[in-house]
Amino acid sequence: MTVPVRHPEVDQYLRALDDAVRPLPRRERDELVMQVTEHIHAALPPQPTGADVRNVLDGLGSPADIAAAAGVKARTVRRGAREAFALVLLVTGLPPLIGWVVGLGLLLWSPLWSARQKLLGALVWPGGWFFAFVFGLLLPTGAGSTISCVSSAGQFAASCTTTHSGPPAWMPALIVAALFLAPIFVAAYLWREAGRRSATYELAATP
Amino acid sequence: MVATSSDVVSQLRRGALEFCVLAMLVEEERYAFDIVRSLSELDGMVTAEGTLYPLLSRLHKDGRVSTTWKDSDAGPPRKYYAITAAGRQALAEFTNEWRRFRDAVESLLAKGTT
Repeated sequence: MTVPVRHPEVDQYLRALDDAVRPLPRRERDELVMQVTEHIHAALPPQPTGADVRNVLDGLGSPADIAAAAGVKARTVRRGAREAFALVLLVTGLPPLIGWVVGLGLLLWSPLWSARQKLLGALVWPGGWFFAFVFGLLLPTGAGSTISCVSSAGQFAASCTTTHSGPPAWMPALIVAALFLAPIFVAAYLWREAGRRSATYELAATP
Repeated sequence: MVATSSDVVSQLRRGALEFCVLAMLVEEERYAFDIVRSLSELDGMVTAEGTLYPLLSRLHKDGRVSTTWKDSDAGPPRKYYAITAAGRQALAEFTNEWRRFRDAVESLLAKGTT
């Protein structure tokens, strides 16, 4: 047996191919992916460099090209309601918990974001504004300061009184600003990326 | 819209490619990677090697080639492609048509360049 080449770019390529040929019957799809996998293994030297891998993948053509040759009509996926809802729910995290979880589901579902972008969207911030808000309330403001909060269960409205004696007053303000602004920036970035990606898909539709 | 010469050539190539594959199998049966590599060594014949695998599947589905698994000296067993009687017939028809077409185009182009 040849030693299967494990390389992140190869894995990514094969996943993209598998995705692109999804409309094909199961057997045909498996065979095609297997043949391309074997091609890559046969074409690569035992210790491939990054350039070796790229040359082989470039020689194969894009997953969309191969899918088109197999008779798959390229899908046109445009940025739309799914992407908008995903970002709004992720940013606000409302309704508490459910909102963010649904937003995460939409984020993962959309084909317009890469794995890395999805990870970014999921990590900034888990729970969205709602959790950022709760976290902001719980911020330690250093020794000697006390925060007392009154919040009614199930609601995110709360009133707090803080007694300062430790860190400068702008510190918590800065952290709270970061907590609220970061999701906005991430969402803006993801929105733009989704738009760019949908354009690529449209190009792929007209070979 | 008038097609550019590269559009026309890529259309021609796409159409002729499966018969070129059949022609490669007339002398001997070959395995997929060998077919793909030999074709891509010819200048201008293949732009994306990966697109040849669906083409081989299509030829198999249409009965123009048959396949057999054979052990290889190194590595996993290989699937060998052989041309069938139907494949030979299709290739013969295409070869005739192609030569007529080529001669006609050649004679016209020759007039255009002299």
